[in-house]
Amino acid sequence: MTEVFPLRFRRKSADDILFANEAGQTFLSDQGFLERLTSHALSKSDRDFLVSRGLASESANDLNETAFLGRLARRQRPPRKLSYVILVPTLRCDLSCSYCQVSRAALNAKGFDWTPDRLAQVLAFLDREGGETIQVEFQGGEPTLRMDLILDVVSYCRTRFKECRFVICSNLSKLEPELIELLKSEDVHLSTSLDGPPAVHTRQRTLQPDLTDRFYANLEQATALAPGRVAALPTLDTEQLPDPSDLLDAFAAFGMRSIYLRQVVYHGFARKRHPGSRDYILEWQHFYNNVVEEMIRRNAQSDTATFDEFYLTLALRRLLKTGEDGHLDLRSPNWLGHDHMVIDYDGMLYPTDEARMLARTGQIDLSIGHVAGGIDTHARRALQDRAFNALDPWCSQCVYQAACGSDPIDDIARTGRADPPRIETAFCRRHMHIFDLATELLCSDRPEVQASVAKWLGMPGSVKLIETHHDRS
Amino acid sequence: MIALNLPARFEDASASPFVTRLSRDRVDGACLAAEFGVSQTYQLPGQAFEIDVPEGDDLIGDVVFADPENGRVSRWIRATSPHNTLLVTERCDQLCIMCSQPPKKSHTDLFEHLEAACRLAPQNMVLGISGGEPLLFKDQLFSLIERTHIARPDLSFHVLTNAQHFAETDLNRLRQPALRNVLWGVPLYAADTNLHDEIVGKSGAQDQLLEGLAIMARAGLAIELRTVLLKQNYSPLPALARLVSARLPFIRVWAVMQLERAGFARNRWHDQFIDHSANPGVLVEAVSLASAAGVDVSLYNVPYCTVPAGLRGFLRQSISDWKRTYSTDCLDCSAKTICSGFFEWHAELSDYAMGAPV
Amino acid sequence: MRIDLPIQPKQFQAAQDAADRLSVIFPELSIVVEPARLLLSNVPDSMVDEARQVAKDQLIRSRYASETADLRVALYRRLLG
Repeated sequence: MTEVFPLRFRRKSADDILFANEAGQTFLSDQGFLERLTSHALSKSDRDFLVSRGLASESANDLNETAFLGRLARRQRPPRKLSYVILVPTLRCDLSCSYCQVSRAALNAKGFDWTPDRLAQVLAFLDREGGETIQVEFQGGEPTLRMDLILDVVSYCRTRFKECRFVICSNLSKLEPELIELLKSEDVHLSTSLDGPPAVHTRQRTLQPDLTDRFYANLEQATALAPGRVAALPTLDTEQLPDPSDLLDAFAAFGMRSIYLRQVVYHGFARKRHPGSRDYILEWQHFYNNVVEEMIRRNAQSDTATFDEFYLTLALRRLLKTGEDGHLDLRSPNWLGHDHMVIDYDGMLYPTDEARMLARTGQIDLSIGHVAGGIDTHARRALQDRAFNALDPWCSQCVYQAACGSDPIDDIARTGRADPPRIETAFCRRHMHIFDLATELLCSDRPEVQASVAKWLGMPGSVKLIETHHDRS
Repeated sequence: MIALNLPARFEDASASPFVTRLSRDRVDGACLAAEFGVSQTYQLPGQAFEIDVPEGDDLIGDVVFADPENGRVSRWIRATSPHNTLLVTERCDQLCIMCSQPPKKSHTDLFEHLEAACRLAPQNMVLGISGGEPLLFKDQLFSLIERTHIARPDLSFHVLTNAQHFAETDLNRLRQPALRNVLWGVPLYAADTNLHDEIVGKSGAQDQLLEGLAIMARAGLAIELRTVLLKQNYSPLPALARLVSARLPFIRVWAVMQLERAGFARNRWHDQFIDHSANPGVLVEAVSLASAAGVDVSLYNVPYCTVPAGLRGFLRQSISDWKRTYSTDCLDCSAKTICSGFFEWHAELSDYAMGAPV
Repeated sequence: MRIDLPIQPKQFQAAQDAADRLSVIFPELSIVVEPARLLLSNVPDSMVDEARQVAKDQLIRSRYASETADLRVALYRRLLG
């Protein structure tokens, strides 16, 4: 007897319905199939399709059931040792960006940097909790105000870990000699903010055009020093979004074509100055889609330079493959406080950067220990309840569940509640939009769409990756 | 061409066959007693034999099967080769149209000697196991691997099998460390049941194979799915890619390989060989489908110049040193160091419409 | 406007689950389950077609989820077993 592995569905149009099971196998079909499936009246052509695509089993322990269970198992990830840590060596900063998510401290303020003892505690913590590889991201304030601390951490990690990657998040208002020297190493990356065309960047960050010019000069110098190792992220204000073409030009001018479109986030100073950022709204979605469409258009005209949106590419990979679980937001279970940790300027431990900001703005304390005393496993345990989206009543009926993740801390930050209904969260709306777009692109017959998808996924050629089933009776 | 079977003159020509390791100075094994020109004489207690060393070759360290009655020494494990294959039987229950080692009805039980050879293998070696169909002697083969694993845990195996002979009752045994430490090479030629069965010359083969793969997956075995490119299965390769992606997500790697001009393929070359460079879109589509789904795809015996740039990242050099030679046309090619070259029994560069030095 | 969707008696529980969910999806509507039907009230004219489709789909979803619950349990048991 043919047993179909239970399917979820999402209606794209009157007669186009997307189906997926909880191992993430996805296909497109129609209203007729939905009716036959749910009234247990599948046709032979339905059964042949389902069996040949591994979507149904014909006997216990047969190949399809074995493959399905294996796939399901590999979609779940176990907690792993610490491999990604955000360090905040100082809270001081020389800029005052309008959307700053952190209560920054003034340039000359005292008491907002790591002491030598604190540094020693941090290194001991990394040694204790770390595995074989580590990615260290330096944030702040402006971390390059303390190059000495950065260099201490870098040299320690290089001896302790087999493989290291360092990311320095800097506003690049200055390019100090020590930073220039450090950037020459292959394991060092630089991340900065580029909010788009000069006017936008000035308005939101530097406030003075000549500071913007200085930033651009520094960014150019950095990309020359560290080709391929400098990334810039835009932070976009939904109320004043740039033209998609201008945005892409601004990045392409620095040789950057991989862009992570981030909306201004509802935290700290951002909340006061950008009230519209609380919910994920349609205007943002239209802007996002237009940027992606512009990328597809430009990619069709050039074989060498490929534009891609970072998160969309991630979503595509999550839809198509098991085991793609490197990104915090897109993994389930999302074990918090295990392989990913934030260590603040005062040594407090947080599971995510957002949790740190929530504490900073006095909303809620989600700290899980201190670098001196170690991880508070009790507090950490309390965070895991919403880590497993498969158990959520809404997610368990969602066609994207296998590919999606969860972000309980974001839910708390935005709604003030620990357990809002999943579909009411900004996280869900954001991901529904991204996965809708991703599946639309994967189902598309347009050659330029298929060509971009192929480039984003590293495929040698274009192929439509989501199949359509229509009854052949 | 590397000589594996060498004529040998034995002091005691009536003795039973035995396995030994050739060495210069070790006390155990066959010790080099004399050298004269290309001839070498090896000595063991109660026996001595003389062999001619092939030009440019070195026999020292080889593990050999000595057959005094037939005056022959077979180099079962060559010390200078990273990958050696042991033939456990010439019998097979399939008859693949391109078989490089056409089967025979007779079988000589060499398991005791094979096990002795494994114990003498160089450190950390990967030993190939092939045939015929090795799992026709399933219990003996499993025992060989299990006992070797205890005596020599540093060794690992690469077993080629048609996966027709696995049963549920094997599960517990397969889950043990010894058999988990094996890479199992299993051929699948087409998604279409009839086409696969025709190519392997056995009705019901694909059904049996898919059941076998299910058992292997449940046992957590490392599977290398193998597909040889043929005229017969080339155009439906994308359909096979879909099957692999959808129903065999648990395989370690999908090895797609060009045809070797050996065995049956030699005489049927023009009926079987497919020039993928004349129609690369099919291969591109298949590799795209599988790689997008997360399948690890490797292309073997595919020269660098015969594929579009997008496929180059999937090319692999064969681990067998005798499977990597170059045609005379390749003399001036700048891509030689990264090219897989050709299998020893090769296509000519002229077999490929797009083949030319880079 | 009202949307009236007939339900079978044996689907009552699934209809209840559907109604709970529809109340979250459409907080401004009044959603009630009666023995033979699922009722959506106060539906603005502009929303009628969309609300009807969403409600029908949710009924299907809730019913299908309860019918396949045992199979899911069996599969997970085999996975963990």
